[in-house]
Amino acid sequence: MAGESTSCPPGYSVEFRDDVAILWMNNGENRFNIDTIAEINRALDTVEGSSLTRILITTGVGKFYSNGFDLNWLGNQGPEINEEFVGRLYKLWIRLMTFPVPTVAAINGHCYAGGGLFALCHDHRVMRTQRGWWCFPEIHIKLPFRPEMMNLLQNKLSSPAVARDMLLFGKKYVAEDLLKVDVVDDICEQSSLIEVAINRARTTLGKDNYSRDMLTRMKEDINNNSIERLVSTPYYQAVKSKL
Amino acid sequence: MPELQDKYRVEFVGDVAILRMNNGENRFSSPTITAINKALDEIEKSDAKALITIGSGRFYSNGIDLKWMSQQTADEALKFALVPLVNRVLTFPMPTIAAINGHCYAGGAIFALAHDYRVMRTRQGWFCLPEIHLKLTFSSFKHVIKCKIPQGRVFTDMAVFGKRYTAEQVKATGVVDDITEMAGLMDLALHMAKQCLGKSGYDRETLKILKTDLYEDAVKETSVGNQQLFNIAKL
Repeated sequence: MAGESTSCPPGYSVEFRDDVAILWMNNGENRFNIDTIAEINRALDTVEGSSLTRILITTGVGKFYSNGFDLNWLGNQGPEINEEFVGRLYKLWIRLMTFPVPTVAAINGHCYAGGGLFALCHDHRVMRTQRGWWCFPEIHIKLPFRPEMMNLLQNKLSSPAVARDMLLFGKKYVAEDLLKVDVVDDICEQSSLIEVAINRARTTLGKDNYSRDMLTRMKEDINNNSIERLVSTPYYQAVKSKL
Repeated sequence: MPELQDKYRVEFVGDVAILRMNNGENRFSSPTITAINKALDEIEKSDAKALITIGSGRFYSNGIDLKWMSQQTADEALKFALVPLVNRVLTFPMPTIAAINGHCYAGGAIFALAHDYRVMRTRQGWFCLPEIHLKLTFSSFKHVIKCKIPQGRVFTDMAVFGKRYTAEQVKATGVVDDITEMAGLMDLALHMAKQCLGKSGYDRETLKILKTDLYEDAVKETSVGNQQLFNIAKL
């Protein structure tokens, strides 16, 4: 199967291949704002609504997996919209972290800041070689994480030294580096990326599949610390019951 | 005390500040902590972009000056400010590197752990958290330990069971980032500083916020007003 769908529609779309759902992000830098979050949620609704689906892959098209928050857009919004954005973002992260099927972020290119956070909310990550940086540049752009974001990131990283390099000092990583620090499970050429992502998910899936309910409950338990931190923020509380 | 301050001197190599501890075992007492804080004040006031601390001779630091401590009144002992000093280093507003030139025990190891990076000389010197052997708990430092030492086997050996490590052994745990012969130790520390700083170094305020959030539990536990040092009566 081709790794990259050249016939992929613009924006966010879902492709089904047997029991695999692929969420294609074909929106330039795939940055997060209230509209794109809504589109991603609609795509996830489609995936959840498909009872045959047992695996979710997310991937970008072209040079970017995701470059993070839409800072230009955010800068033009008032505080209320900024806060709503944060709340909806936290909701999306929680949804992804507790998604009822195994999830793999197939990192096809640059993965910065909020893009990295999004990728870390998946069960697995695989990344293409030869192009694309992974980086949390917050120190370089003088924009610290919110404490609950830092808490989430820490829970997802394997050691204090990695957290220091990645989160404090904004180190840039290529695929080989990420493999060494256990942030990605596999690396490969771009042309094999989707296949490798599916294989990784199948290894997790095993023969017997999982009850969707049980998997969600298991993920909620495991991520309990991070989820509680996000849920207890005023941002989350404000959008809790909004669609 | 000028003679004591002399033993905790600051020098600058380009935009890297070096604090040299040249006081025998470099143990912590109220006077020596005062001297260290004065040196850190000087560094914060300067344009320095990174901090290296190093001991001299056979010792980086052997921890708390227990002999001095046993001679203090209860009031004096309560003012002993190692906990705030560790908090200060943990959140220091520039990259910090502990250049471990020799023995690094107990409070000395905790002081080293509070830094961002650790490098160590080979062939001499142990790295050790011997608290279990001294029948002491980590009390206010337990989150510092938890946030700097990898979970699992390493934590069990190093923190719980007080294993002592050579440079090679502690490097293998990931707790020390790199090792080299003594003659090359400062160069290695300077090299790490340079690599970390990149082209422009870091905004102090942003880095402090990031460290405070990353080490949230440790920072809270070591904040003024929330200190619980080990039961001094046990000494």
